[in-house]
Amino acid sequence: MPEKKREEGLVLKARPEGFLPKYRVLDLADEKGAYCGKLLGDLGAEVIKVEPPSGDKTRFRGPFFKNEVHPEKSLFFLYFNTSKGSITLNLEDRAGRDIFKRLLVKTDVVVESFPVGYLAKLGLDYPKLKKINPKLVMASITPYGQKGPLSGYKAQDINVMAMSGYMQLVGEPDQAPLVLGGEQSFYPGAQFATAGTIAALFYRDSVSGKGQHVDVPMQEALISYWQEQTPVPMWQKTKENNTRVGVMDAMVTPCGLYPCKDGWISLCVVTPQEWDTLAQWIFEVTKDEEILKNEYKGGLIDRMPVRDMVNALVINFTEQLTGREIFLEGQKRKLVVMPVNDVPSLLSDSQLNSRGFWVELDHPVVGKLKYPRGPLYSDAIPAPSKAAPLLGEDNERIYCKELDFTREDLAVLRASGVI
Amino acid sequence: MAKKALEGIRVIEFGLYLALPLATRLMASMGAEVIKVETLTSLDMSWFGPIYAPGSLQLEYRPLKRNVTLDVRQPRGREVMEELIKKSDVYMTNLGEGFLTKFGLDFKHVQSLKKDLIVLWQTGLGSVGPYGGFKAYGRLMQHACAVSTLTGSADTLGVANISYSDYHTSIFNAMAVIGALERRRRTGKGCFIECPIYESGVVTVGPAFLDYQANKVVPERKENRHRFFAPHGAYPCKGTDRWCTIAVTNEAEWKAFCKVIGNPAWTKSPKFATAADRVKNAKEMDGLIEGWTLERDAYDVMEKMQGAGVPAGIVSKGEDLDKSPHLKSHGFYYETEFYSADFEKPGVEWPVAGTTVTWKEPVYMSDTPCMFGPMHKVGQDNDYVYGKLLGMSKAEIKKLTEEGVFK
Repeated sequence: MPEKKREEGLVLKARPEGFLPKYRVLDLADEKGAYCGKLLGDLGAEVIKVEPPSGDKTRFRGPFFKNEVHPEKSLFFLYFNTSKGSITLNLEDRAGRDIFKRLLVKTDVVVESFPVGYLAKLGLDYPKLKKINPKLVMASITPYGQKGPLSGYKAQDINVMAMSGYMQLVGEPDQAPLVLGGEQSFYPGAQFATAGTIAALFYRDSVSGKGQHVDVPMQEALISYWQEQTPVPMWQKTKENNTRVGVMDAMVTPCGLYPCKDGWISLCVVTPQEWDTLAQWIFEVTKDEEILKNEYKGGLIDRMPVRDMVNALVINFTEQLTGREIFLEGQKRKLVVMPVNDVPSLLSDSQLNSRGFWVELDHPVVGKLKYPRGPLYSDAIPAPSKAAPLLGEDNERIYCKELDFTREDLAVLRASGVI
Repeated sequence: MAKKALEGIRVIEFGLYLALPLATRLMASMGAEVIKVETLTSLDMSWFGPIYAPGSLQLEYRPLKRNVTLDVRQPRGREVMEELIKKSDVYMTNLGEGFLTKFGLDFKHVQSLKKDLIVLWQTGLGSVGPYGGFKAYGRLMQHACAVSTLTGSADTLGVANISYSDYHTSIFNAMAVIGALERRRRTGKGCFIECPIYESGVVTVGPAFLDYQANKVVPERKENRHRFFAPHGAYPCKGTDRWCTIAVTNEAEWKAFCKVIGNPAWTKSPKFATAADRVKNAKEMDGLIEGWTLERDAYDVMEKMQGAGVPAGIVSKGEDLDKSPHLKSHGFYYETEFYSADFEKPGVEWPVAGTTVTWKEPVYMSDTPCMFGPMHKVGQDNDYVYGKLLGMSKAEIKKLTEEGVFK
């Protein structure tokens, strides 16, 4: 299929001056908050990951490049740490904390996701840090926030997905609720924290001159990510709970996933016109007049009573074509049809590639890989340009050039486990 | 008065559905003056949801926003929109290019109205490229974004009964616009940003993209089992459709887990001796764990596990969120009024249909706390916006109302 020429106005020019200024961000976050630092870095901030001397724990999280467990080869770490630098610093050591406090003077943002209370134990909670630098913004991304009865609860991705109620909506009605693939709870909290942090910086620099603490509970971020189902009002008004509906919608028909010749296709028919268009197309393909019957006509929920019959007729049609045929022809007929992409097909997707979505970044150990540029297209926003950092790659720059340590000092700090 | 992070910023919201209004909901809670522009001449079906409390769905999208009615399809309506944009800092829309161009609001023109205007255009599969302008729903986007192909079992994809990627788009919209405000503060420049729903969902596939390039691995669908950790799953508990999730990620948690379930003999089996063994034999182990969880209340399982330092959490339903002491302690939900739509009448005459709860933005800012409050009625701010902001006389507002420009 010939590709449309990109229209003027969306052609992305050479690397502009940076969207955010070079805010200094010290990123102490693990998997729960690493995405926040990545977004800030991708948008132009100077983000430095502050890692224990043995490396951030996500460096030991799979999958690994060529399946080799190695701190520079974690693909998890590589994905969530583009546009960042790295220094090593042991915050559990007193000398390490002293160095951290010196760094704070020139820092705009600290991002952290430690268990609640950990930083306070080290004397590094926000009230203490703010005394050192009143302009400091701190973002905390934790499963249940800084306060409240659950603030001390431990959680992995699946536990937050469950507690938010999101899992209740995924899967088949009579089977176990499912966690979404790809550890989805690591995104919403970090996204809210990024928006909140940028807002705090904007307010600081345009109004108050002072920093503040941005506390984001991942559970609540995720609750807001399924609010369209209004779980609490529904319970209060009807004493019923939302549930899973499986691959096909329970109300709107046809709507959902349908098997096709080479896998699956997704489509959804809402208006009476869309139904007429689809029915006509099905008739053209199957030559079965049944689909044109009046009793199937109508909008949104009109086909509820004949749901099984309609879905059977639709499947009879989708199984005769490939996903790509249904997608392209359906869209040509102004139907809402979407492909069911997998990971490889997204990497070669002509739409994404036509927009320069995949950005190749070179990493000194794993070499060149393609990373997403992110969903924001603008002449004002550059694409990410730096792969994840090597452990401690900025030690000399930060410690010697900024804090005036000598190389000998560094050797001593290294030997004593401070950096 | 509490201080507000986006105080003094005026935002025009010209769009429908979910992702765009959620972005401006967040910005309004941060103190931006968001003006939602809509017309009663074009029926918004979502006013009739949900069936058990029609109209209350709007609370999910409208709190704290100003609201005007305006039909931009009329020439005078378009002019008013232009005047409104000139008085604003940000213009956000998710309407189609065809519509916007047809009624004289193409982006080149909009950007020419105000030198430092920030324009955000939310699109579906993107404005240009081979699929440029294609129709899309957030609910189907989980398939286009490959997330459903990573969810579920070998035979069936796991589907979320949700407009999946719209939410990601909404926060990207907001962070892009707030970032653009910071850039404008620094440089004096406005900008144009496009945010497609497609790409904002694709980024959440995450490390799997690198895994495929490096190792040619596409993660297999293993229901709730994890590639590297076990036990890891949702375990059925006492009662109907009650589940508790448990995730054991290291040796200490494994020991604690075994102790909580009473160190049964099977935990000593060589089949479950190391983390690798447990991952390999996870399915069998899950069956054994279910034997223990099925006899217990989901909350009980969670509390016992957490008491021993094992990550666990129930699969919440509406009733659990409603009674959660934790969410109550945050004041996460608040109660407010909603209205019954009657498209034959001006929005300000629609009756109060009742009250219900809606959520506060999950960003707790110490110095400029996010606000929460009621939603405005449709057209409630016509007098303020057209009179005070645009300086129209009462007679002119009346005339344009009668002519249907402000309908």
